[in-house]
Amino acid sequence: MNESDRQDALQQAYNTAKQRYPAPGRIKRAVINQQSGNHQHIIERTKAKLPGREWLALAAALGCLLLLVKGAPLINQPLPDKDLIALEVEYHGYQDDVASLPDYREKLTLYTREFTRQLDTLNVFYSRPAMLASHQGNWLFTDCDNQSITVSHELIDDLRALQRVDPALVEGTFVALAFDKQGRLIKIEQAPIRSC
Amino acid sequence: MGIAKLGFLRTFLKPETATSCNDTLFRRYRQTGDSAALSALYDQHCNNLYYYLLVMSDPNTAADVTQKVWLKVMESKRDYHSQGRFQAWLYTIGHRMLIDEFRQSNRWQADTDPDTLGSAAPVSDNATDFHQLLKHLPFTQREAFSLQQEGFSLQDIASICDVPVETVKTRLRYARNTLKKHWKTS
Repeated sequence: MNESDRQDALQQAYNTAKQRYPAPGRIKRAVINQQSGNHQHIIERTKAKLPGREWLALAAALGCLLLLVKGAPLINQPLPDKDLIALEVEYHGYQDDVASLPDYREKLTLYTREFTRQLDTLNVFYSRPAMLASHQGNWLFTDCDNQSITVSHELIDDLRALQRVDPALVEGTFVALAFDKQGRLIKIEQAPIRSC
Repeated sequence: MGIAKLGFLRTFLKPETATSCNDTLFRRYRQTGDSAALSALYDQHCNNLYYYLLVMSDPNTAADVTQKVWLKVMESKRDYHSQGRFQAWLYTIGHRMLIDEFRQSNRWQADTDPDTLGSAAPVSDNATDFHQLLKHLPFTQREAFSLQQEGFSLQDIASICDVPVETVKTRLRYARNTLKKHWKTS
């Protein structure tokens, strides 16, 4: 058997095996149902847009009118004595903890500082629009000023592990590069519109 | 007669025609949200995509990821701009979602690490079940081989797996050598 025949035999074996395992029908039903649901939702939303707005405006206007007519005297009217609620604030503290209070405060400050630092890492400080120019090995982006931004393969892998890279990105896609306060890249997602 | 007609059509249905058909259907779906266009695209690719994912995982994961890939296609329909490369885009999403799924379920092992070549699991000579034989190949070799059987070029496979073309060539060579050694043709 020559090389070409062997390749054909492997291709044929692959296709035969594939025919034995067709995709379950429930996947198609779920996908088409989702699509029909989305489509119907968009149609209903468009149809209901104008009447909904009118009703909302009418209800808001009536509410304002009622507040002006009925609400104003109620706001300034004092409550009768029998309706007043007596409030008493009691301070609770722990005498024994007073000695270790500075230590506790110090720990709390450290924890708070660490927490804030970690929160800063998660929070997007600013976002920069760019275009994905290449994703072979290190990823290459081009921003609106035509400057190149290279992101290492290792960082992309880390961001992927944290679900912070959109899996649908292809070359030519416009993206938003999200950075934290320290200027570290923390997220790459598709830009909703062409940004440059 | 019907089979003869199909055979005739297949002879003249070139890959470019299928590609342009994919793009036409997807453009129609993107512009009008037409369920029939999506359904036709699904019918064209679903079994192939599912089998690729099945070879790379297990039936439950393959079904879940297949569904997620199509939902992602629906969600990101405005972001597809690469003319004539719908199938490659679909499999790229499939590849990335499968790896995300493995990572989420902590099933990412050394063998499934795309940076390692891995070695084939022991398998008896003259295997008769090709599907099981494929499962014995290391993750990366199995993926390269499956994608090639789905009609992708070396450049396409490199792009889908996010590795250099030379790495794809090596993986394919190892995969084919193992399969040729153990596959018993009738």
